[in-house]
Amino acid sequence: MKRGLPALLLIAPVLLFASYFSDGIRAYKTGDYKKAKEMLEKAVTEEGAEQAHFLLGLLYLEGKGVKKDIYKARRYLQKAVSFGNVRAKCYLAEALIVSRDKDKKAILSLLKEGKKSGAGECAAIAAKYNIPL
Amino acid sequence: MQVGVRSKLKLISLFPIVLLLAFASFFLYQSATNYLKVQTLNERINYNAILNSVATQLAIERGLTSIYIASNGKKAVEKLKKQRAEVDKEIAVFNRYLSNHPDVKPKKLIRLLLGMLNKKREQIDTLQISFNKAFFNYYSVLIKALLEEIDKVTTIGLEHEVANEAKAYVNFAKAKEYSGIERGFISYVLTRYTKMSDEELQKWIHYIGQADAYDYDFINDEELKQRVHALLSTPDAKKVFKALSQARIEILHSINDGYYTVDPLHWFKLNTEKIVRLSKAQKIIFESLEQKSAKTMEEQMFIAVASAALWIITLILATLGYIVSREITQNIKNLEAILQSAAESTSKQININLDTAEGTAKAYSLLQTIIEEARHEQQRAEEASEAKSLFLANMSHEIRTPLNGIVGFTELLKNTELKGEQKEFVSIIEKSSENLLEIINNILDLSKIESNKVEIENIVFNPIEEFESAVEIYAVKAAEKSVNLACFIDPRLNQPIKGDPTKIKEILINLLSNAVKFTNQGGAINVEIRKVHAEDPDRCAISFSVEDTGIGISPDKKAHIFEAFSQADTSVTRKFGGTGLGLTISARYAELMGGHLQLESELGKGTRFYFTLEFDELPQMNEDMYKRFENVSVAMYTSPTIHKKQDEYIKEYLDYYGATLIPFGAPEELIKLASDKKVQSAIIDSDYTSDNDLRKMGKTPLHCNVIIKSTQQKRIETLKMHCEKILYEPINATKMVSVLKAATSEVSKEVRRPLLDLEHIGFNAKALVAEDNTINQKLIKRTLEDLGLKVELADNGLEAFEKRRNGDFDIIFMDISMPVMDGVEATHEILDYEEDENVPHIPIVALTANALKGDRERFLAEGLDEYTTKPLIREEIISILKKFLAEKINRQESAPKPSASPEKEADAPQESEKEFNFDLQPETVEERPVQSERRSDESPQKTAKKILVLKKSLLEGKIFANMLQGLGYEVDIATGIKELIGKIDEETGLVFVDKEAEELSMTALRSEIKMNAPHAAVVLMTDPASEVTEEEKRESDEVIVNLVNRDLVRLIVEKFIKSEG
Repeated sequence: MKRGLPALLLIAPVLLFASYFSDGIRAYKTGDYKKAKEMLEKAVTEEGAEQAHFLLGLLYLEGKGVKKDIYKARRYLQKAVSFGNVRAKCYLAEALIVSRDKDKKAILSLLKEGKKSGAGECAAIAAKYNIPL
Repeated sequence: MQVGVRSKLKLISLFPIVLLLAFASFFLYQSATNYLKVQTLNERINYNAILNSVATQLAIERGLTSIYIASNGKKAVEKLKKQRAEVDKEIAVFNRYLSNHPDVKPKKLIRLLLGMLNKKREQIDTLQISFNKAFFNYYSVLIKALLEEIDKVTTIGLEHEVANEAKAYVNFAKAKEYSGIERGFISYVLTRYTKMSDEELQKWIHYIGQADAYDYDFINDEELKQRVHALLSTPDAKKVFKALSQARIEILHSINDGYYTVDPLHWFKLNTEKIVRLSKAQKIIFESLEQKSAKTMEEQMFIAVASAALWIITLILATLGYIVSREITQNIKNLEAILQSAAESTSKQININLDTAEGTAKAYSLLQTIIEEARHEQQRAEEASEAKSLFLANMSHEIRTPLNGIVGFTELLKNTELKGEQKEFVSIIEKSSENLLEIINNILDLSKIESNKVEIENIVFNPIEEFESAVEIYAVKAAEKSVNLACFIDPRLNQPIKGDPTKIKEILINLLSNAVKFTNQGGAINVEIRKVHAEDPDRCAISFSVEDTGIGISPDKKAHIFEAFSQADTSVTRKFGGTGLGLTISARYAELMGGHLQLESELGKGTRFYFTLEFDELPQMNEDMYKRFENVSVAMYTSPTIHKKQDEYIKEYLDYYGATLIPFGAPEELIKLASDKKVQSAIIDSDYTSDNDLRKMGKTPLHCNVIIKSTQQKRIETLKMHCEKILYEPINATKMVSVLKAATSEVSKEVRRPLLDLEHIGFNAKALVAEDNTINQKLIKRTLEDLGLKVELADNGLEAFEKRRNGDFDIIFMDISMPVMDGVEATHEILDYEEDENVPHIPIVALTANALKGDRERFLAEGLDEYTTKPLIREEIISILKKFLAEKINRQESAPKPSASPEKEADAPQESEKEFNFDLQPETVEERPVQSERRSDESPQKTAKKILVLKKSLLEGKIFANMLQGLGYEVDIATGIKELIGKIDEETGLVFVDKEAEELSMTALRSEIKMNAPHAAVVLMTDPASEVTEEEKRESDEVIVNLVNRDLVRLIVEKFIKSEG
């Protein structure tokens, strides 16, 4: 899949993208969730970064670097879905499932839409909670 | 084939012009094409600007649409709505442009896709369409089509610089578009926040390549390049580009897990900034392009106009060239035609063709021939002119010989003892012949006038005398025609003036001659010569005027009247004769003397010629008669019915001289005036009175002056009137003065004698005179009448013959050369008639102007009885009459010939001289000594021996013999050398021989003289031009020049005859 990448981009030194959002993402990727949470919150407030909501939702859903808080997670993820993030749909469905939301139909449609839009997480979550898609 | 001169000429004249025209046409075409191209570019730039706007706005709509779709219709709803309005606006502009420019035809795809726009928007609004379909399959295809349309500008074929800029413009447009695609596409991915599929990655990498391909290095305009570069190199721009490439790297690093470290908003913002900068750069290029296009258009426009002008000028030049060449051709044609006609006029047959060199050479040789011929013609003309001159010279000589005879005889005649009026006649003859001589000379001088060889003399003369004599010449002629000739010559002209009297007199004579010629019987001619005011007080201006009541000159003829050989009418020439040269000569003479001969004329009423001349006046020398006769009263007869101009002139004369004029109208009045002794003198014009009245008035004890025309003399004679004086018309100052002088003299009337004293031999006979010339007629008639003969006249031979048949005559005088029938023919006719009718023969005497040797024999052989030459000499006539009419001699009046008894007559004039001093020419001074000497010579004359004369011609012999006889010697004339030798005898004392006499041998003559007259001397007369040989000198006692005068001859004769005696 990396075949068509221009050599320039591959060998170029990875310059740190000086934003709370990018720092937050990098911290998240390295497992430093506390910092990630901190940076992403700043990204939301300071930079208005949309996708920061998605990652904050993930942190609260999985309790990484913060105390697990489904409602908070649901709120962030809901926001991320409204911004167009496909993955957020899958995780929003999981959060709804975890919070025992009775609206199964909504959960199913979220999972289906997410899968349809190319988010692999939806299938995994459906399988995890035995929801046939 | 030979190329003609004309074709060559055309080629030479037209080729450069045609070349120039072709060049100008090409240039015009080229510049017009360029202009059209630039115009297309200009159009295209506008079109592209519109296309660009549509594409730009569509790209923004596309970006917003992608956000809208990605957010499931949640984001950018308002913005999209606004943007769609913008796009619609641009599309409206685009559509308007297309409808205004029907020639611009965009790709069908563009129209198709634009038509689908609203449908697509609906699908987007209802989210029925996927991002990929909307973004890539619709918007991007549409924008790409638009960009391709923009790209067309590079295919127009513009000049390099503009083309490169257009290319850069298109590059920026494309880069902008792909940047837009990249922006939208990656925004979509980042918003989705899932992993990028391989396919998506491929697309992105392709878009990156296109989005950054905004190459502009090839722009030639360094300044423009610099400006673009500066725009893209500002720190801000650099930061944007750097951030953008970092964002791309970040995204690339995250494609595996899908956790992108770049926020979609951030990405969108960065790309938008990039697009803004590319747009700015594109705008700069666009402006430059627009500017350049406008400038180029201006240039091309100028070039197009210039070449159009050049083309028009060349076209005009070509037209002119064509016209000129055609004219030249036409000229050559005309020249050809002229040369052809010239060639035809010469005898040569030449076909002129100037087109070939050969033809031109022919034409030149033809011209040469013509020039040579012209030269020959000229030479011939000159020769002819020379011949004419020679002829004229000879003619003049021939004419002058007889004229000299007239002059010579007249001179002799004048020296004989003549009675009063005879003297007048002789002097008129003398003057007439002198004038004739002068006129002949003047005819010869016409050529001199023509060649400006006439010189105006400047001699001192007495104007009254000269002018009077000129007028007097025509007195007889006018009288013969019964024309009243009146003359007024201003008595104030008493001072001598300096000028050319001969020329003035000739003018007057010419004018008078014309006046007499063209005035009918009973008409009048008035000559007025008056002193007029001159500008310069030292000079004297005289106006001359000759007025007649003749036929007049029509206005259209006036202009040509002074031209040579142009009498008013050719019929005039036939009727009146004459050369018509008179006026020409007169006008030229007047001009030469500073005057201007002019005329006033009315057809049928008469003509007045007049001119004014100025002269230098000399201090007074003449006796002025002004108011000299204040004690004299003159009575003048005036008629209530007849009026003559002369009366006025007489009055004017009398006024000047101070005499009192008392007019009277009847003889009784005059008798009363005379008895009262109120007047001393009377002037009576015979035209006004009857014979009776004249006779009555003649009896008054007054100085009675009768004015008559010279032809009326007979009338007065028959009256036997004892009159103081006969005055001939015209009265002039001199005549007037003589009248006045006579009035003051104390001569009593008793001593006057009858006017005509018939003291000559008389013949009681009747003569017929055949003569065509009227003057000669009168002269002969007069001469014969003086001798008592009754004379009848015939104008030609035929008339003479008729008169002979019908009349009885005692003698006939027959002129030889006459019109209709000449004298010899008439003589033959008469002789035939006499023979046929058996009537007694009447002696016929030939009259001829020819005085040639052998004439006499010839005429006698023709049947004539005697012969005499035309200046009729009284003595000869008498001798002829004596010969033929011996029995008719009037015994009662028999008297010795006047010439034979000069002594008797010589005493008479002393007393009667005063009475006859009206004579025109007072007796010359030289005449008196001659007369007195003649008397003293009488004694040697008695013992003198005979003189023999042999001259070249009989005429000359006669003149010479007469001269000798005048000196009182006995003279014999020989007509030839043999006759001369025969006449030599003891009595011969002296022999005159002409060197020119035929068969003359001096030696032979000498021996003859030695034999027959041993004491006789020989005098050789030679022409001044010829040379005398030694022999002739030896054999003659004296050699003298032919042009002798009387004094010289007398000296010579006295030398030889006295020595003998």
